[in-house]
Amino acid sequence: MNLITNAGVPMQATFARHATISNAYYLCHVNKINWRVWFVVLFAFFMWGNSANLHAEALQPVTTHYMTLSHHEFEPWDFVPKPGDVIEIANNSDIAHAIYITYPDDTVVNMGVQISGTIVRWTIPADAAGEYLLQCWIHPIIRARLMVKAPEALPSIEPASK
Amino acid sequence: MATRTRLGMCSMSLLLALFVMTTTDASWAGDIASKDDYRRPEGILSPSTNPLTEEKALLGKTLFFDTKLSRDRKMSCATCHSPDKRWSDGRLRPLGAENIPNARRTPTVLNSAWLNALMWDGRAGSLEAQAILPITTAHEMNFDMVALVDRLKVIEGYRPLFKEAFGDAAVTKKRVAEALASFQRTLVSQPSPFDQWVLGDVNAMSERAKKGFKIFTGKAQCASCHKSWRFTDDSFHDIGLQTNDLGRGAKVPVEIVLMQHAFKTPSLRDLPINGPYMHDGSMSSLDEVIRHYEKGGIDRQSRSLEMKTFELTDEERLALIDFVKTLDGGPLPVKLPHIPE
Repeated sequence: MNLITNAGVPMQATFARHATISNAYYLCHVNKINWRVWFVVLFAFFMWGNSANLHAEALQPVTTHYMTLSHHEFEPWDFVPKPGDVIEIANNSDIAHAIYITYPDDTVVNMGVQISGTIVRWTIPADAAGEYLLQCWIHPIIRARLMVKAPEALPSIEPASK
Repeated sequence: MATRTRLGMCSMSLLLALFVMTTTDASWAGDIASKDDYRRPEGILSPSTNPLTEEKALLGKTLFFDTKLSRDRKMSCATCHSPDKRWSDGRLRPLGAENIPNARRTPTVLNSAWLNALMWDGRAGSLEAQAILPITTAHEMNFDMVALVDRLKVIEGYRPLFKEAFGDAAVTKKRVAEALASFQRTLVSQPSPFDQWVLGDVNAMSERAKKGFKIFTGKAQCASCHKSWRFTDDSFHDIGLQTNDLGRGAKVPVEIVLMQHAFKTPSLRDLPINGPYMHDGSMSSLDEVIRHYEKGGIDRQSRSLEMKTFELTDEERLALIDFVKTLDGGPLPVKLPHIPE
């Protein structure tokens, strides 16, 4: 190995002089670069650990669900979306619509004015859960309630067979 | 030989189809289906949270005609929604709103059981919510609900009405709203000549009115917004009128540009023949209204995409007016209630 300390002294020789202290303390204490490296590595581990759930969700396959606006109503749909899925809304009517989505916490997301024959897409937030209400600013009669459910976790242990 | 025969058969079929289309005037596609779209419903809608009962409707009717619902005891709901003026007031501006900027014409309360967005800008989501607004508006009944409830509580004559409607005599803001909403739900247009024609009576409408219906659903595209048996899409459109009133635009995010100067599509049933028409009462004849739609109004970013210019002949305009008149079922008979003192 060709590790060189700041002072240009070969590491092996330095280590020999501090054999009674721990390796980590030794590396941080005697090497002014290495404590920064350790900090970055530990910080990276910390962040990775905390984002484990997000990683798990990211691994879930994203599904695109399709909804259709037929004049003054959404055509029937039969899907149950999960967080992260995409809802694609096609305006198959001959009039314009302006769909907005009300989240369970009353946050409102506007999809803009959607003219006839166009498509808008809404990505369900990664932390979504509960009822999301789709309405039209122009045509209040248009309403759709979407229940967003997180996929149930697979059991890690199979139940014992009888 | 066989090929020539098949070609001949095809040609004959095509000619026959063209002949049938010409003689039956099939240029208006889906004749029967379109008529079905205008068929009246069997019953009256009411929400599960406030099911319609005769007792609630009677209490609501009494409250509707009672001037004690206003602070100065001079104005009732019926002052502006009068039975003899098709449940509106026939005025350009509502009583007391003469000096109010952007005051809007009083809409009828007929057929309001089917509405899901009330007021010209849709700011009330139910009849129960709407019922409170005129009572508490300063230039209208100028009252507050707490004071109104206190006033009604001490009127002996109201006690049996509340008890019959709700099981006990307690007077609450919620009950007042529910009773008023219940009565308004019972105000349904009378069947009109158009309804009889939809049901199959071919003589219920004149030939000119039938032609007007074709123009209504075809060339003039009135049916783009004036649809269903109530002749409204319960939606909001800027129809290009000269106005400073933002309408629904003041109630929705500013980026929904189409809602600026947009107002709810009014029903065409039981129209007063001389108006006033439009949200601001700015027109006084159906001819004027039709000519406005022909020109398309002010061309601006918010103007409804459904506003498409067209041109009618004088005869077509008269036919269209004749058709609109067939939507009039006449005044709704009403027996005025006894008002408890």
